[in-house]
Amino acid sequence: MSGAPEPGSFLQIDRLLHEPARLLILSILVGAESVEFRFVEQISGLSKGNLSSHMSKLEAAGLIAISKSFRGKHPLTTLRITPLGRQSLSAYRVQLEKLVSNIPQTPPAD
Amino acid sequence: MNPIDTQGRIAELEAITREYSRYESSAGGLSAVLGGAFCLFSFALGLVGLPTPILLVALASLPILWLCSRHLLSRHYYQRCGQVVEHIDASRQRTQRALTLGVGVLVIIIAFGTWTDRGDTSALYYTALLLIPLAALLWLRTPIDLVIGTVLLCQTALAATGRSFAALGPATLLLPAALLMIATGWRDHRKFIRLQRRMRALTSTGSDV
Repeated sequence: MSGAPEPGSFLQIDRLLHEPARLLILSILVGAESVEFRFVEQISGLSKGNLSSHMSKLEAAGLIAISKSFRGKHPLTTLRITPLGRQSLSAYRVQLEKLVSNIPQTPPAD
Repeated sequence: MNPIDTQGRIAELEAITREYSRYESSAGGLSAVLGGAFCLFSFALGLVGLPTPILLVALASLPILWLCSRHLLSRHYYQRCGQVVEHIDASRQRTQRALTLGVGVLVIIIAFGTWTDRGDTSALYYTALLLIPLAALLWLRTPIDLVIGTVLLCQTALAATGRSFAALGPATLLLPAALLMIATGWRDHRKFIRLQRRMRALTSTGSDV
């Protein structure tokens, strides 16, 4: 099938980023220097637990940095994308664009 | 996951976060409107002549009032969904440093120029002048903020000598500058209202990227 994506191009996709919730978190963080947890929670629509679990995976991979402090008596969690995270997201974007451009147009159904 | 939808969603989330983060420092919104109004107030006082002691105290406290209102508006109104710190790229950092340096040099020239020929200068006069570059370094990160902050701190320095801006001369420039600040602030505020609508629309569509 001419124009179809190479099977290898699917395998090159970064699996860590190719997960909706994690991609969503990185997309939010890439637009700013640092972001409060509350903002990510509100704009992503993810639950606290779900968000924390994905944040931990991204932090373990070195794509984001998490800092915990207090504002008055309230705990404050701040997230920041690392240079590696910016680089990975940019590479993922290129991979995805390449993949989409190689997908053949399907003829309209009769 | 549809890759085409994902691309659009990534771009939208990034754009929304970037726009929201502007209200942490570079977009003044209502605080720029307030700063412009304070500058107009200074200009209007110049028209009526010598201000009373109470008005002088009010004039001297305008920069503090403005900086506090700016902080409170950012924290409790514009960024009430959580604080997002703006990402400032290298070229903007260079511009900021150049502006701060320029203001610092200007202030030193003014301070030295008035050192000998002003008999009525006080410690508050020099303190207010020297606070300008410090404020520029810490809080006044955009040209519009720098103009408002410098004008208001110069006004404080003048108020320390018992005077306000003269209505004529260079201070006449205050009028168009103040109107421009009000217009820019109002435009930023309208942009924020549109941003809120976009955020509501995005969150109502759910999180299935």
